[in-house]
Amino acid sequence: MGSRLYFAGLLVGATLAAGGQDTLDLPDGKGKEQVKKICAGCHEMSTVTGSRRTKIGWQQNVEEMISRGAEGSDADMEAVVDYLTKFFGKLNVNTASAKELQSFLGLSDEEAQAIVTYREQNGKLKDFEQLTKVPGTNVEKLRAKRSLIAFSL
Amino acid sequence: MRVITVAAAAAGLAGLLYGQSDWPTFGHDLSGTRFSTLKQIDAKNVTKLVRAWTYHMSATAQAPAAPGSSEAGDAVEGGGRGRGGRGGGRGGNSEVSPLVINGVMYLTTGGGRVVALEPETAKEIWTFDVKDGAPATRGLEFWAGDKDSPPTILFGTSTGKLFALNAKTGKPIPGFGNEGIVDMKPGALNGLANSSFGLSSPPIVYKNLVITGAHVQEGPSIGAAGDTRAWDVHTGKLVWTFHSIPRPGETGSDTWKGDDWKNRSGTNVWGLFTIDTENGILYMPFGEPTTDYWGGDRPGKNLFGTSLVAVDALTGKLRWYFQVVHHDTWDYDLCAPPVLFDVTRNGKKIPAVGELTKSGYVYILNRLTGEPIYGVEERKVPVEDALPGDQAWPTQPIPLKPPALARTSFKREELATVTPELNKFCTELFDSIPGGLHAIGSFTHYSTTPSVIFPSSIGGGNWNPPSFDPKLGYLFVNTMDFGSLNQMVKSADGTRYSRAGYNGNNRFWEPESNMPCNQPPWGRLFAINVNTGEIAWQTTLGITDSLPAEKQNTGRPNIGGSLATAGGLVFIGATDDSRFRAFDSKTGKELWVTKIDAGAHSAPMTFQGKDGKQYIVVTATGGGFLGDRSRADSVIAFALP
Repeated sequence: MGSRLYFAGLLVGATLAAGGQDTLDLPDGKGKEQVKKICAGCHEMSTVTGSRRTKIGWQQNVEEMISRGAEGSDADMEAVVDYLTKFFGKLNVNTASAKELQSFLGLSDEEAQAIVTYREQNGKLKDFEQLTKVPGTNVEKLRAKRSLIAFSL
Repeated sequence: MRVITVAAAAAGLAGLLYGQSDWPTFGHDLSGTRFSTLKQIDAKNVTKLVRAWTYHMSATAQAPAAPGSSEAGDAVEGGGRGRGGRGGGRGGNSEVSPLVINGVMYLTTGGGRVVALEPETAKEIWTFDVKDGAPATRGLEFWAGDKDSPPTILFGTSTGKLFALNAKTGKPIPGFGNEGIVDMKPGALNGLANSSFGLSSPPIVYKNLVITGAHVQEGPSIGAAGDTRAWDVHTGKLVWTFHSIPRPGETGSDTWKGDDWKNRSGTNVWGLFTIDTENGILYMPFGEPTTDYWGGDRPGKNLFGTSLVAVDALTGKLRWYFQVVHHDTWDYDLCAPPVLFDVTRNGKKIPAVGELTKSGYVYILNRLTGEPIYGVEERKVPVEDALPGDQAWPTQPIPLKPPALARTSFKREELATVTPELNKFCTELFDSIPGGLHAIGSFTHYSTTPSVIFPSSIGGGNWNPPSFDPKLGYLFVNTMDFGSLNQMVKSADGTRYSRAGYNGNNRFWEPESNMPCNQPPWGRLFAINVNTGEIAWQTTLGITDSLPAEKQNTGRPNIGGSLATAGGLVFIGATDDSRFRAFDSKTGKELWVTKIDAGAHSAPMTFQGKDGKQYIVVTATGGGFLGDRSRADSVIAFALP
């Protein structure tokens, strides 16, 4: 995909999911079948996969869709939320555990712990600029993952 | 009766059946003016308004919901409304405008129920649990009944059912369809059993007909029809169908090539209808055909896509049409209610209709002929950036008056400088590809190069119901100066293109602060003098809380509509700043603002209670397509103490 070039400096290393996702292109994983069945009948999958959301963000989005006609069991809807959070998710750095910070953002144990400690001492992080000033974090690493980072739900 | 006569004369409205203390249909009257002659609340006392009651839509007698707050999002994870509100009730969000008729308030709820309330207290009179899908998010319609049928509440569901309930009891009306329910899917699905069909807006009643639009898919191309249909209000029997995509031999069929029309979805009225009761004309704002951003498999103008269409309300026979976007590939669906009013020009009275568009304009047309009153020019637009295989239409109809009411283009030098951090983010974003993001003026196409499109796919305007003050001749409309950020990518099988985000984002903004990347304003409220076509006043609508006080007045992205009253006021929520406001209708001065439970992406209404008090009511649930993180389940009433 030629467009991959454009992401230089803005989005690196994350699950590169920005492409036009036909249902054929969706990454394999638990919940993919439900996403295909429930979402793809009404709009193109790229409408979903074009933006990233936190788990709560995806839950709210799925709620919206239910009120607009999406049909499925509660278990189906949970599978959709989990799938979208896994592959098209964002992490709220104000509520994430050190383990989540490590696995989702690829931070080291120390870097993740630095954020948690900062949070405990100073309260919620307001925005990305503040995050980059947390002692012990790797600014370049965070910058590369900026589109995966959220500060609220 | 005197009050009614005065109102009818002033607004040029016929067929007002109810006292002016009521709010009997979505737009207050079938003309969609959202104007009330109530004036207990006026410019002098509006600052004294207090909250009279809050109705929590997801609450049940067993488990009352916690008061709404911006933290109510927590309820999504835990108990309360439950995941998706299911159990407590499907969906959760609501854009509903309640109705009040003869001392009873009726509304659909985000909690999956339809309820009748005492309008002075919000005490439940009856509730009806909709077990099949969610009741339409924008509300319901009332029919007064006759010697054969009781007063009736009519509403659609997300699963394509049309319900008729006895307004007194909340029980289904047995003679309507199958025990009170008409299944609208047969006849709409084009033989595609799994395609999606529902209603998100209320139907409209005219004489013995209940008229329904359609909420159908955006893609793929093939799916349920977006036809408008009329049903016998007594029996639920289908009376007429208007083909939203003309069949061979019907007017407009020559705007399609070959069999491209066949089983094509979209092209639907998902927004609001209005009716000229004097002339028996139904006004239908149609959305665009499927798919939204790629028209390679539908060369031509594609009628009645993104068109305002007038038909005989009793027969569905075409009177006139006006296409607002030819061969739409921007998702510029028409969806706002076409507001009916009279224009006085050169001493002559012209029956008119005003349509707010996602593309950022208001079209003011003669409502009997469809002719523009202030001129419309077919202007050349870019075609060179159209996607391979898509035949872009070389011109688009642009009104000469009023001017664009939202930003319609973008240049690099217009990047936001609101804060250094925002400017840095947006500049890096814009420059992240050689030559910058694709943006070449109005009607820039969504391109394979990441593109900035103004207005965005959600407006400009949106379904925002305007309001109209007949004494001033002002039409009040709200818009946002907001852009899409997308790139088009070829499908895996190479046959078409679909829209993707860029850098985990599909709006031209910084997605954590929700601050747009263009210079403010970001949202505005306008008064259009319909007798001149000029902007009488405009003001920013909404504030950015995270900015320092002196910089907050940016206007905010907004979806929802307004209410105008004879008290000289325009009431509006709509913004994502969780506030509800009143403006001086003559000057545009913000007279009152109050923080509410969540963003009110809805349209307020007013009524006079049995206690003699005037109430202003607005629904506030946050969420929606603006990325509004606020959450609540509140319908809120304000009154003077």
